[in-house]
Amino acid sequence: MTWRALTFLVWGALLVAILACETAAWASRGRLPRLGDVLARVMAPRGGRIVVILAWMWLGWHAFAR
Amino acid sequence: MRPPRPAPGEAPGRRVLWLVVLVGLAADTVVAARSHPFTWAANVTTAVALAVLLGVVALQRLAPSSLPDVVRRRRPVPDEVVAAWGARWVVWPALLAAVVGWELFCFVSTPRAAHPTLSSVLDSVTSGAPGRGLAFAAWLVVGWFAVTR
Repeated sequence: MTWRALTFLVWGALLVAILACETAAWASRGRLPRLGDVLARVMAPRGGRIVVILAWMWLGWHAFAR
Repeated sequence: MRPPRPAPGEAPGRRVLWLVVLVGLAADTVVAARSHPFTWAANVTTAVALAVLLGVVALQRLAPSSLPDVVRRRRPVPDEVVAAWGARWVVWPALLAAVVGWELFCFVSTPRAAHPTLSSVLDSVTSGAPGRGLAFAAWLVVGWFAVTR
């Protein structure tokens, strides 16, 4: 197996893990936190909100404009 | 009997204004989908989305009653719900650490073709108009989520 294939395999596995956790949390009806719940908790204090919004802005500029 | 008063931010004129903003963002997404990085079109479409988001954040702070429900801040997750999660929320920071760790490994490894970073993967996804349009729309939805929490 090449490094390129292995790298894509790991990226794919991480994506599947994220989707699996989100699905499990959604199916648990609140017993497990969803990604959005954890993000909302991080953004409850003003500092957390500023960091998340700045990260979103940087991501958009990096991905679409640059 | 008086007719019910419209909720703050839901007056007809304001509703039309926010509909125009929504249609504008949809048009922005279409133009962004057809643009290419390092061009004026890409810079302007991204800047428009950033300006709308910052405008909403400013209005949330300065004139919250002028905003429709869809862009108002939601209530935070109640403490009792967080307490009920126990340590189970740790799975998300652990996954984030795994993503950051793998990204760093790919970033310092060469050649890039053998170790594509998230940016490289995203570049291949956004190389065509449909993928770029979907990614831009997803980015807008995440932004909406971020400003309403």
